Amino acid sequence: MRVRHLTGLALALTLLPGLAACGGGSGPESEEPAGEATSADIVPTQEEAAPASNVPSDTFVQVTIGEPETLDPAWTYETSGAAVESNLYDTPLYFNREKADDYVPQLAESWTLSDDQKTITLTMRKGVTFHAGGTLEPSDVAYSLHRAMLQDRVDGPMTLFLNPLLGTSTIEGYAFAKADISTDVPEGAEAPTLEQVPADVIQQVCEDVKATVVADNDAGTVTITLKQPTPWFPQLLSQPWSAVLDKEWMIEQKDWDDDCATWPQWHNPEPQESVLFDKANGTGPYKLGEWKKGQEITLEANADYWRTEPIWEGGPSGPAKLTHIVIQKVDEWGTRFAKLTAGEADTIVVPRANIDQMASLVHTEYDGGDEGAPATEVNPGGSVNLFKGYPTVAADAAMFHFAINPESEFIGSGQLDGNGIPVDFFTDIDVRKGFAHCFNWETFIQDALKGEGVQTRGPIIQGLQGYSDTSPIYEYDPVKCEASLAKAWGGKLPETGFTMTLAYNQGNDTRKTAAEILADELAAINEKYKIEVQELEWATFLEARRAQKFPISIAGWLADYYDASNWVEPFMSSAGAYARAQSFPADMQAKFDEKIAAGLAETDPAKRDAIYAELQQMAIDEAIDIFLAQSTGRFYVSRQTTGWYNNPLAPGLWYYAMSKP
Amino acid sequence: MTNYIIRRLLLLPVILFGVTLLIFAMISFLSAEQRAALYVADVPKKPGALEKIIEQYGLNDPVHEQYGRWIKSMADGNLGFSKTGKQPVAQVIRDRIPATAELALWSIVPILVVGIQLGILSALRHNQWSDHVLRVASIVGTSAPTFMVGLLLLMFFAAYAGWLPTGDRLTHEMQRVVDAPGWRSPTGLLTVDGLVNGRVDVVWDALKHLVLPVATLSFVSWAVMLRITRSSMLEVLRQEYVQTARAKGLAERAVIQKHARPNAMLPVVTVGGFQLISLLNGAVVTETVFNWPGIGRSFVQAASNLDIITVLGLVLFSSTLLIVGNLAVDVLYAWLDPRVRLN
Amino acid sequence: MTAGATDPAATPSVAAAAARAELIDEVQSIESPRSARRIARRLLHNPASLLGTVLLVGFAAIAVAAPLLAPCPDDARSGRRCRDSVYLVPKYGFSKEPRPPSAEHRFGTTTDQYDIYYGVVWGTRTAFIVGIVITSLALVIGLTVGSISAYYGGWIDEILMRIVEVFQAFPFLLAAITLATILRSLPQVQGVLPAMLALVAFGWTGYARLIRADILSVKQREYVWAARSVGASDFRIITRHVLPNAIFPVLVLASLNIGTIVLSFAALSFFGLGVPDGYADWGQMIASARQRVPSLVNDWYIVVFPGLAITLFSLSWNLIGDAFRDILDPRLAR
Repeated sequence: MRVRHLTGLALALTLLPGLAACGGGSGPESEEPAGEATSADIVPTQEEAAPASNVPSDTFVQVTIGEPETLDPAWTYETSGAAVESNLYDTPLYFNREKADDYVPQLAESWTLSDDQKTITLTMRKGVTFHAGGTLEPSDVAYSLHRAMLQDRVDGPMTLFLNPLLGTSTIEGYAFAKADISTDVPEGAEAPTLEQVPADVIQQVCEDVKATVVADNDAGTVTITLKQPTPWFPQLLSQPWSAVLDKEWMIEQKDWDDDCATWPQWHNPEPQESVLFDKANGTGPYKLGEWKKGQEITLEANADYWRTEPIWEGGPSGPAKLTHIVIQKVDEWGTRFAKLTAGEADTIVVPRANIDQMASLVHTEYDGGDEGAPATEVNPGGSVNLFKGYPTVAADAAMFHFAINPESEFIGSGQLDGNGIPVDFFTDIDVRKGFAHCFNWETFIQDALKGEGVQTRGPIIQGLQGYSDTSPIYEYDPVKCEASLAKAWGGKLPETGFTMTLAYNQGNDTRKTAAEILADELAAINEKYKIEVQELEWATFLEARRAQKFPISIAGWLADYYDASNWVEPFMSSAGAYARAQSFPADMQAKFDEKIAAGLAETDPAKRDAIYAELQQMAIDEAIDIFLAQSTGRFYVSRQTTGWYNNPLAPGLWYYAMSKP
Repeated sequence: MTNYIIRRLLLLPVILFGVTLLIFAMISFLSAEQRAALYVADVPKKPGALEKIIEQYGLNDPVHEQYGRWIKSMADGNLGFSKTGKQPVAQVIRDRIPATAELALWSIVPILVVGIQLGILSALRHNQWSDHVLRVASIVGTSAPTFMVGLLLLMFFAAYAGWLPTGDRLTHEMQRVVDAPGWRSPTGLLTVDGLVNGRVDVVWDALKHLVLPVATLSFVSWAVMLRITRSSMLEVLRQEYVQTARAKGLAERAVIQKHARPNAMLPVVTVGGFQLISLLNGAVVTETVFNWPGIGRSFVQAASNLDIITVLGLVLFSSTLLIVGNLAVDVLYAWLDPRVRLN
Repeated sequence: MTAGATDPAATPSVAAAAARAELIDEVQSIESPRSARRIARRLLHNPASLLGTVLLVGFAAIAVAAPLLAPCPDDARSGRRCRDSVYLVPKYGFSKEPRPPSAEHRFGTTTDQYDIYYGVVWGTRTAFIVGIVITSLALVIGLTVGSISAYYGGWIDEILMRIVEVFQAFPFLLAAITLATILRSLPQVQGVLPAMLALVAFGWTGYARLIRADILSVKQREYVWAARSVGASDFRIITRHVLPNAIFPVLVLASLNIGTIVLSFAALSFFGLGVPDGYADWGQMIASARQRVPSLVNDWYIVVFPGLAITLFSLSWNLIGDAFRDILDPRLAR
């Protein structure tokens, strides 16, 4: 899961708490992917009425709220940075416009997948030059991926590559395993470090990494060998994590020298330690202008961009049409809005809470993710167009914890005496089902999400394997809720009642609203069903969550790649980011894990579909979470701008496809 | 007096050392996990990730060790790297000073012109209706929260009427002019640099952006200045030499300009000096409301994210400013009024 | 006024800073509660301070009558929060658009559907509590440190005064923001406490210096020498002889400071550090209007009602303070 800098969670970090009352948990806000124009045939008719944009037609101004942590593509695991990188660097493949699981070759001229689905061969393009002048060679591709995997910063994105290529989730773990160093250290003891790993193992680890991606400069190819079939691997080769760097330039800049003995020096750097922290030398359609920290990032079109043929039919080619890009960081909503109304911005981040304020500015509303979608002219005097209702790859859930930390301050007395809950409160399935029936999705989607979402039917979202819009779900039903809770804990729950605290981190509106809806509904059923909703500082929230003190935690997931496996993993696997903390009973967990492994091993699409449908069903049967909603997207852009389209996996705007004719 | 100044200056490093100790004492309330929150943007996905980060940044070490590390890097002239500013702390300060300085310097204009002139006016019209109105206005002025004033100004002049911009130091096109190579920037103050470069349009644009933040920042101060000037002026007007001058038949205008006003300015200078120093407090709020890229906003961002390295750097800077500023006001006061002996 | 005697930059508000610097010498001329009674009488004859007093009494009445003026609704959903604590403002739904004043919501609702009327009424109590508690705690610390410093003198005085200087060298709002953020991260300190403690922690230094200066002058008086000569203990001398005579000006100053303390607290609320979300607090309500700046002309009620409340509250204290200054300085009497 990448961190979306538009989420409340990220806001807690990047902004002042409280100033950032925008946005939802993981609900995407206005900023959405970009692309290219089909025919823009819905031409606004009343040209003269629209306020003129003051932004020149060769410039695009985007006013946003996040700021990249770094511009090193191997380090970046959040959307603000990835969005910028996707314009600076090219990747071997690229998404076929709006499709997340179909690809066009980009820096590769062509590519093939072997019959056993374990070998990908890229034939690289010739004559492509980097911004700083170097020439692209297949060895640059290999170097870039090797470096990324060996850099593998703590909790970074590289696990997505290490798993399919080496069968490990971290490169350190791989090295420790090879050197027979136990990572299972008792509390308080020093964790092992790479310094304890013998030099020959260090060498071997690197050589193993190098064996997975092999370049042949003479043949002009790069061969990638997977441990097991990974249908989504081409998606990873289309995202900025696979950005192609100039090996010679990198070595000149004192980054990793491609030597297998030295890589630990460049392993897990702090963001600013990377050469690529605020420098870039890619082959992309844009060069990095300047990153004025805390204020703005500027990009300048690469006049020598290599592409001469359209990327797809009717797609962009040649140098970028928008020659200056300005990405400003403005935390204050009022300022962003004023910039848009004054014509100083082409697009701004609009928190859900402020949608109504935008209404009078909208000229044409598109019911979908590009200009081909059904359009309605709303207000001839409007200055922006609105795209809405397209699906995103983000969803939220409220997760029950089966074994809460007894020291938790969120479970009151810790007893079933009305003043608290026992630590195993949620092991009773009637409690879980009751809570699920008490969640009012309609209120949540209409009010908190402003109608921009659909109820999720389990961990797997719309459009992926195993999803069916007829599968059973819980519906808001106070009667069933009451009945279910009446059965729970031997029938004494209505008598004794319970008290617990649900916490959310400051600024995270989705978490807050979901918790409050649940609290309201339960209170309406029985005054003794008491849920207090408490706001916590991000630091406190993080600590409490890590100590497994929350009875229920509400979180959102943003897909890394477009496949059901990326959804069952976090929500159901024993290694999953969320499920791990929920402490499911061993037999239930074993059942889940077994099915998840089966799904990963299966290559036949129909069979995969069936396996994931089963997992979806299991999650509902066991009521492990209250599955909240999958958000739909919304994007405002100045009327002059054309060519935008939504690709669910694109981290931000791809300016290359856009223009202001 | 020289002794006094030397003594204060010698104490400066001691006080600053105390301030950094105070900050470290404050963060020792927090657990290592809480301090790690600065370095993770989301709930860690991999088991052990948070522990790794704690280890990487030495957050679990005893506070005095962490303090020692910081002092040591300070001794090397390194203020550290600002996680929230995404650049070295020293660079954050260098980048942000001009914006705050420009805001504060321009705020002197309304404080002096409006505050002092109205104060004199109020005193000269003592107990007339204009005096009453001004007094009440000044009391109301000091009773309204700064951020509310900023919000109301923004609401009326920017959002509703659209006369003035809502934030930033320049519009985009002008920003591009300023960023272009060849732009000379001797001061970093856009209104000054604009003149140096002969670009009146930049000056004009910068001024438009300054109006609302300056009005907000000086809102409280001009009211204070009005009150001080008024009472000081009233007192002077009752003094014998003024009465004498009047008796000698000097024109009222001359009496005020030659005799009353200069003497009434004594307390005004002192209070004005303190007001200027304390503009730093107001700047924190004003810069946040108007998206002004100054020191105050960096500080709020650092503090609210528990970015203690940045907080330390910025506080060291502003504390030095505050102490030296206070000393300067003391000295100025003693120089203006020889009766005062500093000890 | 002697320069350097007080340090306005270290006082809780820019507004109060200069005013207080000016006040101090004047207040120091008051020596006994008897003259205080005379002053009180004159305060009521001055129209400005009369208005201030009337306003203050009005606010006190609202604070006392809050349960009658704004009762917690019976409804299971909207009344859920205020049944737990009366300071948690009832919330009417989850929409993000504020609702204008109506029969149901006299002052409208905020962007989070908190009832503004309820918040303004109960916020009065918060304002009094915040102002009085912060001021008293700061006073107690200031008095203790100041009297120890002044009475013992020597190296104790030297050290304590350096500590005071360290606290004052930390610009007030920056210090309060930092400490409030840290305290809010502690599970043991929640609710309004973090912001209050932060303001106390950096708000006592002015009082310490003031009481120290006062004691130094009182200490030289005859009755103190007399007490010492009959062998009275240090503690007894401080508490029975020195403090009662030195404390009055400080108390007056402190009480007049309540209005500005409330403004400082509101500033912390503005940064999201004041009170928990949805707590009855004027500052937080005004701050919530920031998301609505572009349409604030339509949503005026979010700023105007709580803004009026806080401005009038602070105004009432300032009016009394202003009149007080005039009374103390007979030369300026009308």
